[in-house]
Amino acid sequence: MAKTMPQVRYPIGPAAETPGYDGSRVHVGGVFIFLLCFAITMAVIFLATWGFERRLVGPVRPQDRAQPKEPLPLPQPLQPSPGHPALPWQDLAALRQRQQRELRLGAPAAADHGPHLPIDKAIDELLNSGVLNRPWKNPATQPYMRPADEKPALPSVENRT
Amino acid sequence: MTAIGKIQTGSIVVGIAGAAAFVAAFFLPVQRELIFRAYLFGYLCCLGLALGSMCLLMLHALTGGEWGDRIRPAAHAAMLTLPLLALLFIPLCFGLRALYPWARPEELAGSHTLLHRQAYLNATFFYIRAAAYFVIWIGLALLVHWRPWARALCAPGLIIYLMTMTHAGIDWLMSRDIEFYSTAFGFVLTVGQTLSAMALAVVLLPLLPKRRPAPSPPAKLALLNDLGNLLLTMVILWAYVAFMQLLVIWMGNTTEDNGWYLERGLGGGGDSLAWRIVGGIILLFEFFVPFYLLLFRKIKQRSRSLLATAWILLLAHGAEEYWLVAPSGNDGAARFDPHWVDLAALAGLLGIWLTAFLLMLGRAPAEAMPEPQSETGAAVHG
Repeated sequence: MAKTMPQVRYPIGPAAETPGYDGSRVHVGGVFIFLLCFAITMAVIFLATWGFERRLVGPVRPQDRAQPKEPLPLPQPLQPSPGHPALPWQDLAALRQRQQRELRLGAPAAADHGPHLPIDKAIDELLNSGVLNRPWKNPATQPYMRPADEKPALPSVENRT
Repeated sequence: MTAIGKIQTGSIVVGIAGAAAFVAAFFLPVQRELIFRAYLFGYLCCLGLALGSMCLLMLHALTGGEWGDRIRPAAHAAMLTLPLLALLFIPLCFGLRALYPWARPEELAGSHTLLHRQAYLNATFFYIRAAAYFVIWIGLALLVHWRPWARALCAPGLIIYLMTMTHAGIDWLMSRDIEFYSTAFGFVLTVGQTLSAMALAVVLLPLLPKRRPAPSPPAKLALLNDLGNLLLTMVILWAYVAFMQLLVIWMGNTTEDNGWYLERGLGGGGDSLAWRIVGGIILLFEFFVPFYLLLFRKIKQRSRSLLATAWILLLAHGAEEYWLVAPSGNDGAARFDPHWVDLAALAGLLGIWLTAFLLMLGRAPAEAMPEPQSETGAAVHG
């Protein structure tokens, strides 16, 4: 394998003496050849990946469906957060759990000890309570009764989706 | 005796002593994992120099320039050691169980991830892939050897080298951890290999045959300046890709990827401090110090200071190889357990490799061969 190459002599290019670096015998074309090869390789890889995806991802193998026997241990975070030792996904899971619990229970006590209902829940409660259908004793607070032929300017609470 | 001859004698002695100490470790109460880990570390140090040299030769064939002509004998000789490195890979095949969790049935059965990857990560396919890598690399080396100026071959050759080294990095290094996965890993390895090969070539500059006729002083300064600039470019590229990998994993903060950096001391606990010190040394001497030094033209244009910088880079890269190999496979725990067998394996393998390398260097062309169609080349070849 170690083929001895012929011994040759040559000087460093004269272009080296003027600018402080050697600019002789430098091929810019090589960069373009490389870029062309790189682009072709990328195209081939993308096509091959696409083909594999189409052929292999569809059927789920039995081992893909297998679940770990025990839950994975909690990871140690890389990001230093000594005052809040929790990962972002743990924070999100806790937030989601808290919101679900609040919605289930209705109105947990807020900081001012008053009721604290989410607006959607409050509207549902109001509609289901039947308060809006009762005749109002005080005419000043009675809801506006729209004539039958008048079209509403804004969607009413009852028509909300 | 010439300087190369003296180094060759020294490398034979060190190689034999290291190899003997390494073999002795098999008969002593030393864990198999430590023995094969040490071998993998020493092996990757040598392989990186050979593959990085091949990459440099292909880069030079593409771009041209005096710098490549000057370092060609060293890079060429290093590249020609690839067949020897293919043979030296064989002992690693006996240490799969010690090195890789996917080769241990008890771990395979208990890991969903390993079961999922079993179709790819199994012993038979591992051997086939390793053989394929060496066939491709030796084939590329032969192409570069026989057709050194074939630009059309070197462009795809560089891409093939990047792709095969990425896969080899996954097989030989990344798969030592069950969960870790990084798409930048192969690129970090290839850039590190090229950097180390460039540093080796610069270190060997005084040993390479002198030019006849000697270049004029401004031309010599320009050459040293170019070599320094190339080293600086590679240092920056290495730091960029290594930091990019860390940044992406740090931001992702996932169970799968964190473990690899936690093993290297980023999370605290265990022997984190020791690994942090090693990491700090690598960061300091493979980036900050050479980056600062290579910014100055005076340092680049003085042979001694450029050589000193290249030595720093070479040693720091050796430390990086250890940092890549040793902490893996500890399930996210930082365990610092250097062993004398690490040094023995490194000495043995490096001694054997250096002997072969210097043998090749002696048979390499006394001076670089310029491109035949170039201006100066045409003058030479008539």
